[in-house]
Amino acid sequence: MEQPLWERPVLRKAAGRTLRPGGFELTDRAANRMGLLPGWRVLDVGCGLGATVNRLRSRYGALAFGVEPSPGQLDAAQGAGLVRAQGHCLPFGPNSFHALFCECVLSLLPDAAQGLGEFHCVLRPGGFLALSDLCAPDADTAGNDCAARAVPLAETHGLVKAAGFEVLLLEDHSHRLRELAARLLFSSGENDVPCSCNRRGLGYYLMIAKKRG
Amino acid sequence: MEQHELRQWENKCIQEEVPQCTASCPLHVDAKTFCSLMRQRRWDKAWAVLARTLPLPGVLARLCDAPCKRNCVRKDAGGSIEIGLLERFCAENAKPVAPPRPLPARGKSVAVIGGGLTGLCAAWELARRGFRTTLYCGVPGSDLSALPETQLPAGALERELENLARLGAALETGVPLDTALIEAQLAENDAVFLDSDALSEAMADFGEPDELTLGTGQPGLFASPRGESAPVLKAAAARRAANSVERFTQGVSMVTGRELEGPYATRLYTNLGNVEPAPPVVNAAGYTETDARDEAKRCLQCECMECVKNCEYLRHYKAYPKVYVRQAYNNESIVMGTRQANTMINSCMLCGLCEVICPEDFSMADVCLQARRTMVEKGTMPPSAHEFALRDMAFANGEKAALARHAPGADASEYLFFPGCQLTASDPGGVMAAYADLRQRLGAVGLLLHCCGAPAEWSGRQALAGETMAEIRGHWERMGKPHLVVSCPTCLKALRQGLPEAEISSHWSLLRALGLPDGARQQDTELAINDPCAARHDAVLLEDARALLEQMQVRITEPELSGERTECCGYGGLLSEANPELAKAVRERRAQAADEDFVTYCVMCRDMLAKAGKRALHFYDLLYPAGEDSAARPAPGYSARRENRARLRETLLAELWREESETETAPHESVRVEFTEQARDIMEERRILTSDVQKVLHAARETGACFVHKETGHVLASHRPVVVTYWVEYEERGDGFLVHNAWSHRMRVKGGAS
Amino acid sequence: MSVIKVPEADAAGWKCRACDAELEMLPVELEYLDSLFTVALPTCPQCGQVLIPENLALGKMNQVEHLLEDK
Repeated sequence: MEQPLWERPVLRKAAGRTLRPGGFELTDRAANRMGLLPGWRVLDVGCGLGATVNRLRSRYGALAFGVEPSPGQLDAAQGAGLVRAQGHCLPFGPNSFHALFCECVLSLLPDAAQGLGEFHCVLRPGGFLALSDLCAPDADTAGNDCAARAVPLAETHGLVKAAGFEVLLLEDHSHRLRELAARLLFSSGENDVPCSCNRRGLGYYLMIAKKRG
Repeated sequence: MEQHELRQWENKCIQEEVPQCTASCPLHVDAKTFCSLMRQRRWDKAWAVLARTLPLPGVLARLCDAPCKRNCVRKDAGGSIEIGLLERFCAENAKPVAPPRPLPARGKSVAVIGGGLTGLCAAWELARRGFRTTLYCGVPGSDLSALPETQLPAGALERELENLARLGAALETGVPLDTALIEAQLAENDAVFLDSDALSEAMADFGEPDELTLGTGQPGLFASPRGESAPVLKAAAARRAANSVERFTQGVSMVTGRELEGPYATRLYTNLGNVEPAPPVVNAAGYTETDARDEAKRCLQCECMECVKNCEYLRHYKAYPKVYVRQAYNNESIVMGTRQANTMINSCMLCGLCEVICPEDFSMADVCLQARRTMVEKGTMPPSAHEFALRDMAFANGEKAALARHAPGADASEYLFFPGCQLTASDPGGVMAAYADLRQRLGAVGLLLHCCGAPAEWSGRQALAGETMAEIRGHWERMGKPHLVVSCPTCLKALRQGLPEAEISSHWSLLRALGLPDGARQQDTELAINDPCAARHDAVLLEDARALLEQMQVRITEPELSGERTECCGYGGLLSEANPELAKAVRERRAQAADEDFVTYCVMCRDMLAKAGKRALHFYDLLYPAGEDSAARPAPGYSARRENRARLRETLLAELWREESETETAPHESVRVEFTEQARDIMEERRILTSDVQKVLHAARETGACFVHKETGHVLASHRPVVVTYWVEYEERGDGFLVHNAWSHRMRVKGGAS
Repeated sequence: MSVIKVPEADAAGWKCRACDAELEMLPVELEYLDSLFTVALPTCPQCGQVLIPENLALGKMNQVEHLLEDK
């Protein structure tokens, strides 16, 4: 079993510490759109190396935490407030957070609907969900890399609404994905497995939703 | 493309239509898949195909009288496939399979009364649909008991009765079948089905059941029509009744959308043109494995694919128009994510062959041109797809190549010669000779050197195509609206559309009427005619071209695809720009369409065939022979084509009109440059022009910015005239240069020297 | 964003003629269709002239152009 792309050095080289399309640009976009204030409790699900947590703490004064299932990623991570946990089974009580970030992670969860239910539970009423992820042109989920696990946006949209959220914003950021694919392409050597994030008409979106109630 | 347009297009392509056998089978057995597995000797898999569709397959497959044979396409090529014999062989030799898994229980119950084959099939179908089903009968399979062992061997029925039980149907045998039973079951169940032939007439006096639903006057009571003898039709009646029971118990319409339940008509067309007749395999002792395989091999595996068989482009993308049009639609409607079909859309030659061949007139050209226009409109057309061709068009219409003049010494024109921008690029000498001939025989013939705008049209840029036509119109009107004489079939088509009120003749029709020019070649030769795709629907032109060849004593060979069905050389629709590799495959395929040398009246066809290594002549080579072996003339490269246009214009101005060319020479044009043979080939392949190289060398000379190689002493410089950056590796030779290599890219280096 | 290192960006043997200087791998901004990449490329440290080798132009760079163009 080869390493997943997000744990391979080539991605670190191409995408920097955020390991995702668009870097902090979409994180900032979401934080600004929800008007993130100092003192907010914020959770980053699938925090990887802790880059977003650090940014939310340092730039927005948020009391930010991160969860990440991979011990390898956590060992390499930097900063405070990082906990080992699965995204669909969060070690926090209900109504704990003002906002929750889930960037380029949702399609990697074993069960996205269950994950969104869990996000809904730990958010306060009126709390914000910032979701950015790959989306696929069709529902073909053979394989286990990011590209193969991506689902059509309409499906995710439906799940988010069904989980009890109101969608405030939905934007196409596919060009960011293409840029990441281009960076990966530039820096890949002969022996690197080509990345699949430019396959099958994949896209990338940013969604901001609000917990109803 | 709107969704309803997509549906219309998809509906036009019949490739996915059901084959005749399946459509005419009352149970819609997938005989095509069955035969394809049988020909591979995969008996078990083939049996699974039958068992998926047939109720009591072990009984029915042995009794099937194959009504599909009446419609089998093979019928006219040796005789229909013996599907009944194949089914029997399969039933005897394949491993039995478990019955299909029933749908989840619906909480509804149905009684089937009467256990003939119809009743058994009804119980099977109902149980399979998730009804709690009970079959009441005397002896199950009463109408099968008289069948000989050879038809229905012992144990076959018993095995299927076990399967019926596994499906969940309860069997109540030895029950007296009377009216009281029917009444009681109607009261206890959601519906009741009667196997009419297993009951006395007195009992089943509910009138003839409705032919569509098999319902009776009694709500919830369904019955089979009396006196059906064919086993497959018995099974079909049972299935029809089961479908009705399903609708009745769900409370949905009993009648809508049932057109495809029984045998129906299908639009699938299968061409028998290249099919060798072969009679059915016969063996009185019953089929052996080899017999079964050979008989299954006779199945044509019906599909249409007419257009795909005849078009390299449609073949290349490994599907067929129905799939392609959906890809084009998705490409257009994608809001999130990347587009995947741009190259496919840009690779269509827009030549119209598929529309002529298709039994339903499907036109990929319409789909792709519309899609390209939308891409241009929405700004999603990849910039690099057509840029080179559009730059070439701009050059042809620019001050260096375009020209509009009355004949020398004349101040009016009765005729206006329009050779088109590719003939001037490929055969300037031929254009000069043709123009001289026209002036000699017709007098006041003006000349208009201009591109008709086809590249703009093909690339989906309607506005640019319109501007180009407006320029031509301006010239034509200023010159007094003369009668246009047009050589290039693509120009002819474009001008007839763009100047509908103009009198326009093809040069070839005109010459047919005028007679051959002095010096035209007249010797008995055999040549294959290559009709350009733009002439496809111009019957007059097709005929005049042939007549003209006959006047020159040419014996004409017609390739298989010719005239209205001619195939494109690979230049059409700018294929060679968008997808050079596919264009190469297309022209190579066309080059093999005839053993003889080709002769054609489109110079792009001529050059494309020459590029594929095929000897090819243009009509001008015969009409105005220049002495050399014209059929072997190589196609001029991109740079030479531009130079030919510019030099033709200068020569004509100087020799005919005694004018100095008024165009200014750009500074880079004076750069003296030579190329190694390898560099020439590389530049042609990479679409780098001599003028591009000259610009780099000129810039390097001006700025001094360049690199030098420590071992070879070669110099490397770059320049970005507009959007492409060109790199040239060269040696300095006195005041000139020898170029070794050149490459280009579109990414811009910001803040670098280029 | 971090500087991308491209394996193909080798320009061995070439030097800047005007400055008579050896080339160094320096960060260069490449732009195409509104996308910007910072890539380490052989550059003259004195005049800033950048060299795009043939195999980079026809290989990686061409692939990236295609990718960004949605071909």
